[in-house]
Amino acid sequence: MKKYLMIIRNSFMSSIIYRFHFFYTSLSNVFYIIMIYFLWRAIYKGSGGSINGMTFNQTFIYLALAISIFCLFKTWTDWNMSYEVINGIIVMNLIKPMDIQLLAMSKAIGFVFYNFITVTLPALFVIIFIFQPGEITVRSIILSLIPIVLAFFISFNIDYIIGLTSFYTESIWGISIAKDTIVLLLSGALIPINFFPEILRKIVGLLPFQAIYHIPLTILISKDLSIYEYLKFLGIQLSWAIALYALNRFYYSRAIKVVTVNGG
Amino acid sequence: MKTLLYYVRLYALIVSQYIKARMQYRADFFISSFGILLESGAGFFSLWVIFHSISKLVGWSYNELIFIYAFSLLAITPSQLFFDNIWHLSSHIRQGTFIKYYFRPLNMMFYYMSEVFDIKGFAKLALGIGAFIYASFKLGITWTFPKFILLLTLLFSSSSIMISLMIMAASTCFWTGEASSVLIFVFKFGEYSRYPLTIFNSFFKLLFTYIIPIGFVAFYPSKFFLRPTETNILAYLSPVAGILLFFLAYLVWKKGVNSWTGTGS
Repeated sequence: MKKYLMIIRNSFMSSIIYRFHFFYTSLSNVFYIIMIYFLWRAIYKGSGGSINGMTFNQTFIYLALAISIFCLFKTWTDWNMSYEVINGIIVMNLIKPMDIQLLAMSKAIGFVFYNFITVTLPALFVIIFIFQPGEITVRSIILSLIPIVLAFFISFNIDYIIGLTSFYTESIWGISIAKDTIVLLLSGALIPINFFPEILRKIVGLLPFQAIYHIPLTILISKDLSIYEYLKFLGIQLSWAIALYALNRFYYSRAIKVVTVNGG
Repeated sequence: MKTLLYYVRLYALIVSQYIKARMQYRADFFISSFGILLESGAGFFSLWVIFHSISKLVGWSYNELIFIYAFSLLAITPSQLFFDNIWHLSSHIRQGTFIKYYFRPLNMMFYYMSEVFDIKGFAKLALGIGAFIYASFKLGITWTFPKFILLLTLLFSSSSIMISLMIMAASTCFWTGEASSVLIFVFKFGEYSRYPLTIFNSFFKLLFTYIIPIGFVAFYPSKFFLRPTETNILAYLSPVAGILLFFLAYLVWKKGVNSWTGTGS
């Protein structure tokens, strides 16, 4: 356990070197939030009060938080693994007395802490103090803590699948871009799932992506969530987390047999 | 004129070598093209979903928005096709490999940018052209020869604006050593150019017209074709803005190139 904690710490320390980076990443995200504010205000202009059962405030908070969570979970796991395979550094990880998936996850967690300080915290600041939503209460924040952790676990495992794919393909540029787009679209991070046409909503419900954004965000912005619904959400997340983890264990046992390391 | 021809021939040579090298990884090319298609297509999907719930966005119809989006895709494509090496500038600077560009009897920016020709950009181009034809067909825009020339001029200046902003962003790494976050920052603005500027309040309208002129990337030029009667004087400034900005970007780049001290290796 202690060795993984060290990895988390090191990954955090090495990411805070670029302070300049810090500033622009925060600013970029704040601009994005301003942008969706105006876009959705325009969308809501012609309609009275609510569209698809969501008010402007709810939609805006939902999307602003979605992008903040997206940035929080952006740990570049897949890119790093591909880089390590291409450069042969993966060998150094394979000979360590550590589990490679947990190692990758520890690195990702370190990065999440960095992301939290640089991106999510400023974004939350903007959302809470400038836009002052009444939707988020202390209760909903506390309730959403576990779902956010589970969401990270699911998000990491999806990244890890792509990362393992680099054992076969080495470069994963295209697959990673495609994955980012698919995750963002089908998780409701770009447009709330409530806006999707009926059939699409049914399909999306069967996929793991909505468990990353839609579930924690719904919990965060609904004031009166019943305990039954909450447990149902947790159940969905937990099943996806376990399923994806198991899938990755199986996939790894296959992929490790084909990876070729050029020197290293 | 002679130098221009020389550069054109040189560019063709360098790029053809690059494409040969890339074509070793054919699968990577196809998968990446697919990734780009999906990434750029996602915006169309968003519009499609949004217009299930509303019929107009601040007075703009679905097809008009597709038109503006397609215009912005077409305007961003050249920066990807011809200037993609801009993304690698930081690492060249940090590792010191940028030094090699000082030693050739060529224009440095030309030589640096010519080294990467991002063939993936063709996927974006194809999508942009497809959507553009679709939207202008749906909107019943008749294309006359002068209109077509106007379109090409506007696309040229729009892409020049995008390219200039990217060059300026990347050039900051001559002083800071790391520009990827600034680049992403500017690149994102390029993506915002696909929406009508009229959704913003007056502060951001001014910001996106004069300070970070992304309004000129797609919105103002598109108005020539969508609402010819509503175009304001600003739209005519697009080509001027494009050329001026490129000169400015070139100056910044030059200044950066001259002040970089190298890594000593």
